[in-house]
Amino acid sequence: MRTGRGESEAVGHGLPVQEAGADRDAVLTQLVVDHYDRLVRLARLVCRDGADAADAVQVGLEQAWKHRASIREPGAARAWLDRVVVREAVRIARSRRSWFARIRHLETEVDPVEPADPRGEPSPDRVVLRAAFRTLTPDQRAVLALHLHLGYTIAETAAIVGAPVETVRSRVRMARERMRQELTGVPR
Amino acid sequence: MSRDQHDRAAMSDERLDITLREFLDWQAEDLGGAPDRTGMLARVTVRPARRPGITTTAWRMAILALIAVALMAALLAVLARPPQDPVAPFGRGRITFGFTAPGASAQVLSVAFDGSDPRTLWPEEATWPVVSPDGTRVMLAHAAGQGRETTTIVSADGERSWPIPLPADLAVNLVPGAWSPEGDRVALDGWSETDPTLNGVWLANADGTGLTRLTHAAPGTEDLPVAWSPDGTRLLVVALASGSDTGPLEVVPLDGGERIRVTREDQVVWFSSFGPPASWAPDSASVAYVGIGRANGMVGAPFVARLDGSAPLRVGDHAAYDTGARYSPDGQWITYDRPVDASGRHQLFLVRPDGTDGRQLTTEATAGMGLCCATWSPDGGSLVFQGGPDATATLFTMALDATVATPLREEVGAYAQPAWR
Repeated sequence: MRTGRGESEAVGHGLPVQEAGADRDAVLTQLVVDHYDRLVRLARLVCRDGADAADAVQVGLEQAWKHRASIREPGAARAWLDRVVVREAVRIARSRRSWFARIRHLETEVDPVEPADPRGEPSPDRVVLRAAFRTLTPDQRAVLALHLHLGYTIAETAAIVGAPVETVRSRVRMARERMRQELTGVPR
Repeated sequence: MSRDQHDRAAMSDERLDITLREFLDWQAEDLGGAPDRTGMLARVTVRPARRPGITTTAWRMAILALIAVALMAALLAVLARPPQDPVAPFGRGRITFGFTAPGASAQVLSVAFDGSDPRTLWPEEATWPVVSPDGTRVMLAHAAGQGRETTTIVSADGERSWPIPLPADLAVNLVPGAWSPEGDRVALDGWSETDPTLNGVWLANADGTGLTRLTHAAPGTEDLPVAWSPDGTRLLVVALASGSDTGPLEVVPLDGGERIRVTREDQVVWFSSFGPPASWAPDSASVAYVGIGRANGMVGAPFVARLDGSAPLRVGDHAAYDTGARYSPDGQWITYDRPVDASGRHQLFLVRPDGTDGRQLTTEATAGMGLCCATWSPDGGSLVFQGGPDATATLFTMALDATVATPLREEVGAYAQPAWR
């Protein structure tokens, strides 16, 4: 599995459970430090919105905190958190059909001018891919993010999103072909 | 194809995946910083109104227990109330809508025109209510077990129900679409994740019998029936691209005739929880819809198509996320909503079907917030619509000659498909 950027050394272990007294804040802080950056990036890819992504991550961390005693298997915490966050992110992304969301996201959705990128002008390919990525469904963005961005296998991705392996394989293939088509101008 | 295009078309999956990984790494950083969300734990969550998820047994038990407690409380409240005229709450019709309270499951509720006499029409998670023309019945979508969804027709008082059984040998789900003008038949959105060849419009009698198939959706699409013509001969259908929430609007004759595209070639309509994106004129001669440019994000405008081969007529200004385009009962007006300023808040508009007499009906002063998704009262003199400042919304009613809206509901949450019959 590929390791996401900004990930701390603690990732890959179970969730901390010792939180007696003043240690509670420290344990919670460590949980956030260990996973927050990776989870936010994952949720951003699915939601395509920073605020929604933060909400999805917050749900994930709340769930992790509530269930921390039951997740002590080494390596289980990361996939468990990714699962909670990506499912919440998909739910939020789907709910953007709602009236609340369309008002909240109005400017980012319809602004004809892309905001300036502080990292400099993106390459033409990235501009094309960004437009294509926007047209994918939340489910397709989720499997691409898990499989290609975080490096989960198809089977692991299927377990995380809670869909059959063949369904996930199909989603990845469709998303990949959509991106290829936009990139090359030719479907394969 | 240029040589460069040809070279890129030949890109291997491995090369493509490397490109996509680099893009995803870059894109994950490209969507703005995560703001401080402290204090947002209670943020209203909203669910897609269509296709409810299946609740677990534990949740269902909990929901049923809560409903039982609520029903007991309501019963006690009714018994403690002085006698009232039983006809009064129904005298000007009832308003039915889907509602999802923060953190709760989706419900279908019905209230009198003044907000009194609330009734839950289905004891479990349910959504997408479509009310019969005479207002006596509501069809709604709910879980049918084994991950499937179906439609049940419920009396407006919630007392009786007529389920539409799913075919045992076909993995199709049946979701509410439209009522026939006589109220004796319903058109359903049939769809299947495992066998998309089952996607299409299905018809059934209003007592749940006689399930038949009307259309076979084109590959990669679904056929969503949104309105039955008043003369009973045709259906308005959104040919929704699977996995998307937009598609062209088409007229499907019930006698098996050729489908006719309503939207222009460069347009689609947006199928959302804010109600049907199109409506029939009472004389069945024209259709009002909000058309969205295929290449223009979610920017659209209200149009009227006369179905005689002429080009659709734009009857309002272009804006983002317009909804509505609903004919008044007498066919003299069309209501729609669009944002009125940079804040993105929507307000309601009225316009004649020929594009004249257009005017803004509501302002920020009407309810102190953005408003959208209006539908007409049975007499055409009032509207019911959603309003909310941000992540909260509720329902309002307003007479056309009034300047201030009347709150219909105090409870905030996600509302869907309000209908007044």
